[in-house]
Amino acid sequence: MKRADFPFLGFGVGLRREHYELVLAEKPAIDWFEVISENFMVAGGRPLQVLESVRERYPIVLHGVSLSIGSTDRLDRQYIAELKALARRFEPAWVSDHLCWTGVDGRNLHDLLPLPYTSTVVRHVARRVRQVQDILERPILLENVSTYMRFAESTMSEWEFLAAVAEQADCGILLDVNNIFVNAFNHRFDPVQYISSIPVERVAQFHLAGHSDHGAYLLDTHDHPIRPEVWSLYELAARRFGAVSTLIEWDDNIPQFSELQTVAKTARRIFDASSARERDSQKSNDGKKPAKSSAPALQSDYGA
Amino acid sequence: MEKSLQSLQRLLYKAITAPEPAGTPAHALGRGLAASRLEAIIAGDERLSAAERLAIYANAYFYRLLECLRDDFPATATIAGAERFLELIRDYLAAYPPSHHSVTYAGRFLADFLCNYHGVQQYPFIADVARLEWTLIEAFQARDAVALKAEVLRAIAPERWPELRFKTPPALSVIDCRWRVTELLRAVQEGNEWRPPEATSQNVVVWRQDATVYYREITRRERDAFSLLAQGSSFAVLCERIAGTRADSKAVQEINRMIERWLADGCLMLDDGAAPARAKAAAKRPPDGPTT
Repeated sequence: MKRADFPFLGFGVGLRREHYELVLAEKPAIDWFEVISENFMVAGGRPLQVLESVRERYPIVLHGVSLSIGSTDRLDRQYIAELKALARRFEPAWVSDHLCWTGVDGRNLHDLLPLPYTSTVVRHVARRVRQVQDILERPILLENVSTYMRFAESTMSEWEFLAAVAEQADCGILLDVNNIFVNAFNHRFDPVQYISSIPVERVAQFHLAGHSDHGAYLLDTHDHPIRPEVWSLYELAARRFGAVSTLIEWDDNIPQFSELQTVAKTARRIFDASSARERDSQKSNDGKKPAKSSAPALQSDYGA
Repeated sequence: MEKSLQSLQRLLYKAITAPEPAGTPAHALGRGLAASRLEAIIAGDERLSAAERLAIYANAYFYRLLECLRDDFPATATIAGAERFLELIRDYLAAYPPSHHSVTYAGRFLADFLCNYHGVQQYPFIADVARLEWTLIEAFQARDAVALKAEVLRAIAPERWPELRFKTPPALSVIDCRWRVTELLRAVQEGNEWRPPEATSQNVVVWRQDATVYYREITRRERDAFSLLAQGSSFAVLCERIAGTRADSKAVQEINRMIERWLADGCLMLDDGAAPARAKAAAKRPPDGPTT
C-alpha cells in the first residue's frame, strides 16, 4: 500500500437518497462523494442511473458495510465479485470497509461488531484482507468502528490492533475521528494517544460525524452536528496526518445539502489552519518556540 | 484460534438476536447466558454492565431491521399497527434471520411468513399486501432492459409478425392475489384511510418505466398473455391463445389494446435471443397441453 494510491480528494460528503434530486439537478459544489457500496450492488434501476450521473461530475469512493473481514465465515466471494464489478464500472478513487465482523454461519447482523484485540485475531484479519486485496486487485482501507463492548481476552489497545492489522495486511486506514471520540468515552481511553499512535503513512481518509449522548455511553448515530471535541481531535489529526481526504457522514435526520456543504467547508478551514500551524511548528523546531495548540479556540469557533 | 473466535461470534450472534420480552430492562437481559459467563467475555464497568453493553447491540439489531422493514412494507405496517408490527417483525426475524449482505433483502420472506402467522389472523389479506410490496422492491432494483418501442414494432413487415417472439423486462412481475389489495395499497401510499379489501382474487402486474415502479390490476386474460410471453411463445400463439374460441373482432381488438398498452408502458421486449428449436417446440405445444 502506498499513500499515493489514495490521492487527496479534498472535503466530501456521503451521497444519500434524500439529496439525489438536488445533486443531479444543481450539481452542487463539493469535492467528492462517498457512496455505500451495497446500495449500488443491485442489478439495475434508479440507484445505478443516479451513480452514473454523479460519477460523470464528481470523484467517488466506495464504502462498504458487509465485507465482514473479521468473521470466521469464509470470505463471501460472490459479494467481493459484485464489489469488484461495481468498482470496475464506476472507477472509485478507492474502496473501503470496516475493521469488524457483521455475521457468522451465513447470518447477517447488519451491524459492525468489534473483535477481540489479540495478535491471533490480527493475523486472522490480515490474512483475509490480503485475500480481498488480491481479488480486488487494489489496496483497501479499513475503518475503525464505534464500539460499546470490549472483550476480556483483548491483550492490546484498539489503536495497537488497528495499526497491527494495517501493517500485516498492508492496507490503508480510514480513520473515523468521531468513532475515536465515542470509543474513548465508552471505554475510557485517551483519544489523543490513539491518534498519536496510528502510523501516519497508513491513513488515507478521515470520517467526521455526529453522535448522541446516552449518559452512560455515546452512540455513533450520525444524526447530529459534529461535536466541538471531535472538531478538536480532527484538528490534531489534520496536523499529524497531513493532506488526508475528509468525509462528512450524516445518515439520519439528514439536513439540507447546503448544511453539509457548510460542514465540509468548516473541515477545510480547520485543515488549512492546521497545515499552516504545522508548517510554523516545523519552523519553530529549528530553534524557535513551538506553536501553541488552538484546540480550545476551535471548540468555540466550530461548535455551533 | 479461529475456533475460539468462531465460538465467540456464534455466542454473540445468538445473544444479540435472541428475542426478549418487550419492557425487559437491559441489566436483566440474560440472553441465554449466565451473568458470570457474560462478564468473563465482555468487560463491564460501573457505568455499564456486560449485559447492558450487549443490550446496545441487541437493540440496534432489532430496531434497525424494524425500521428498514417498516420503510419497505408501509402498507403491511399500517394494517398491523405499530405494536403488532413490532411483534410480527420480532417473530419474523426469529424465523427468517437476515442472511443476505444487503439489508434490502431482509424482508424477502415476509409474505411467506405472514401466510401462516397466527398474530395477524384478523387481517387475512396482509400476506397479499406484503407480497405486492416486496414485488415493488424487486422491480425497483431489477436489471435494466431496453423496452420495445411502438415505431420499431411498426417497422417490422406484417408477414413476420406471426413468428415474432416477445418477452417482458426483468423488472416486470405478475402476482396472483387472493384479495383485491391494490386499492388498499394505493390508499396507504396516498395517505388515505384504508379499508379491508374484498375477498376476491386479483391479478396484478408490477413493472418499472423510467426508474419509476408501477402496478395495476389486470384481467385474467392479460395475466395469461404475460405467462405466454414469459414462456417465449410466438405472436401467433399469443393471439391464438388469447382469442381462445372467439374468432371475432373483439378478440383482435383486445389483443391490440394489450399490445398498445404494453408498448406505452415499456412492458414489452423483442426476444431476439430465443433458441429457435426450443421456441418452435413451445409454439407447437397445444393449448393447456402437458409439457412433457
